[in-house]
Amino acid sequence: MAEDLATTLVTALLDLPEREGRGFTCVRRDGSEKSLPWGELKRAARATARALQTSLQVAPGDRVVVILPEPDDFVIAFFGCVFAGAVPVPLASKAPFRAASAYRDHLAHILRASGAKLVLTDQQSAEAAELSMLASELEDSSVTAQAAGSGPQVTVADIDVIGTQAAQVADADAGGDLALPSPDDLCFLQFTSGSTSEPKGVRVLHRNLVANARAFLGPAGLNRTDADVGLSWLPLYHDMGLIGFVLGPVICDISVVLIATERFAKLPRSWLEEISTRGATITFAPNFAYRLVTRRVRERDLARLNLRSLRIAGCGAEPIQADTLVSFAERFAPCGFDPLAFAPCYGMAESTLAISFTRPSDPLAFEWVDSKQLAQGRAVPTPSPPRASTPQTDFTPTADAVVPSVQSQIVDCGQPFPGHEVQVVREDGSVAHDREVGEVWVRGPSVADGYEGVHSPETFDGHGWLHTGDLGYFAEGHLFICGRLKDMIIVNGSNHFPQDIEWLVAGVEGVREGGVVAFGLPGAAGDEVVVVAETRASDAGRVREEASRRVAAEMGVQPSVVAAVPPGTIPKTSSGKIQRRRTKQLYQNGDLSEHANESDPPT
Amino acid sequence: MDTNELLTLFRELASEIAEKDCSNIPADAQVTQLGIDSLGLMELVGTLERELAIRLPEAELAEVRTISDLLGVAAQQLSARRTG
Repeated sequence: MAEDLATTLVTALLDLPEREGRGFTCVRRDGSEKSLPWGELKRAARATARALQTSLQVAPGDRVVVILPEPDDFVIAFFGCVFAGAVPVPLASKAPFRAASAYRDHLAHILRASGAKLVLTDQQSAEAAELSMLASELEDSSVTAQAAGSGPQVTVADIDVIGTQAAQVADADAGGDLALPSPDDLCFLQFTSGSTSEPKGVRVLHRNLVANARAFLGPAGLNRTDADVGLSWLPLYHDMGLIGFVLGPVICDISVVLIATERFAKLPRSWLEEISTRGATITFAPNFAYRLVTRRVRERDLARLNLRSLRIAGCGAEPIQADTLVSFAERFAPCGFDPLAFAPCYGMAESTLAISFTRPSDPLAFEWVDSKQLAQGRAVPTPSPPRASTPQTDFTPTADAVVPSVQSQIVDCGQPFPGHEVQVVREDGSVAHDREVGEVWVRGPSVADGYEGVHSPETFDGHGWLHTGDLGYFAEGHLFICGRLKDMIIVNGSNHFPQDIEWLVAGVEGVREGGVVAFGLPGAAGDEVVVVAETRASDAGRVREEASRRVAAEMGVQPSVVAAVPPGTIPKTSSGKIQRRRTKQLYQNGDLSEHANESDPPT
Repeated sequence: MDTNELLTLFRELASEIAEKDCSNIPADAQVTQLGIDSLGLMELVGTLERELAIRLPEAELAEVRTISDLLGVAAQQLSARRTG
């Protein structure tokens, strides 16, 4: 069998046996169901590819931005692009209550970074984001010049129209020529939910996908069987939802129930209800989702839920808090939830998806380490503290000198995959000892082909190593992740760059130029956003309010604190650059003198 | 259900989702100022939809800025349901 294994996503889909009842079941936002058995997916993807080629002149290598919140639309469009030899660029649709203009700015950046000239979307998404205004905006901005050169304008195409054309194509000509890519060809661009102004598209090759999917779904990972049913509400524009539950399952033949993300967002407990009614065996979610359902489920729901079928409850994509998973297991024990199902894992889009995994049969493992020692770069185990008195920080960034508690709880993220190397590396590039904290580096067939159009030797070092930017340590061959080098702020699974928040707040009237710092502090539910802004005392109240409003409206995160401080308070380097980490320390030590909190004093 | 009843219901639901007391939040406050992130706001929309047995159209939510804007959309759907 080994020599027949598919080497690209295209051959993987074409090779899938069309057995009864196997494929995707898509639950749309309105709750209606659309079944996509493998055979139907092959036909729909072929027809869509032909429609894209004939009516939109999509050529091999073309980048196509895909904004489709309905899972069946998304899956068909994605494979349609790949079958046409084009490169899909998945993107979120605009979130409600967020400014349409901010969304279009972000889209414009993605268009520029990817070179895409076609956007595939649906009518609702296009209307909500007012995409009809996109063309004229692009014309006004420098984006057009860079994205399109002297070429054609960006086209926004409605998936329903393509679908109708595809149906006609399918009637007339079921065959047609498919692009057959080589394993080294680019499959899609995964934009990381990174800085709005500098989005980075990870170049995921066909061979990366195949290698990673076989690793995390094979014997060293989840060890898939024909009896498995995956279930996911994860967004399909992110690696965990897209690769974990769409591309991986196609490569390894796993049936999956794909639920529109909005259904989970509107009713979090529906996730567990779906697992219960469908007898799902594999699900995945970031830490926050486990926390959310544990809080939201009602006593009377517990009696109706049956979670016995679940053999894998994966957790990744953001720092994992052991307490969250332990509470979940306790809450859902009466529903038959097996704590052995927990599978903490570690990964990132730059390594396709997964880097390390715990084995399905391993119990959830975590350890307590001395926080002071951890801050010095050493993971020294301590006995676990009594449960009642555990005001520990679950996830203490080691780069910061200030650690408010004595113990940190760190989750075991398992072992690297066969054929992949993982190293923990000191600042000088030498390999760290066991239990010594350093940056996590990864090398192997899952490491992606860099960022689109951006040379970034600090991440992809040219010797095959991916420098993850995360801090971790090895203990007896198991990887523990304990912080990050970068200043990224993670709220509910979304990454926010402090620069983006600072840029927004800098635009508030009364904020001193170059006088804004944003950072995250670990809180009970992930990071809490703190903004420090320099302003005059008379502007303090208004600045606090306006900064908070702006960040919430544009970024979708509510700062926990906006500290208004006198000009000159924020520490800077000799060249005038703000010192984010130093400011954070001052804040944590209570050494930032803020303007008084009452209304503006009389002048 | 009149405007005041809607606002009272909204404050109750928002308090549950924000996990803090929202019972005094004014109707003209921005929705984004409830201290609830995007995901929580979607949950709030979902809860409101279930409580009132209506659907809040996405295109109209795009225009919503304040709590009274949001309740206005809800009231519209409620009256559409009565007459429809």
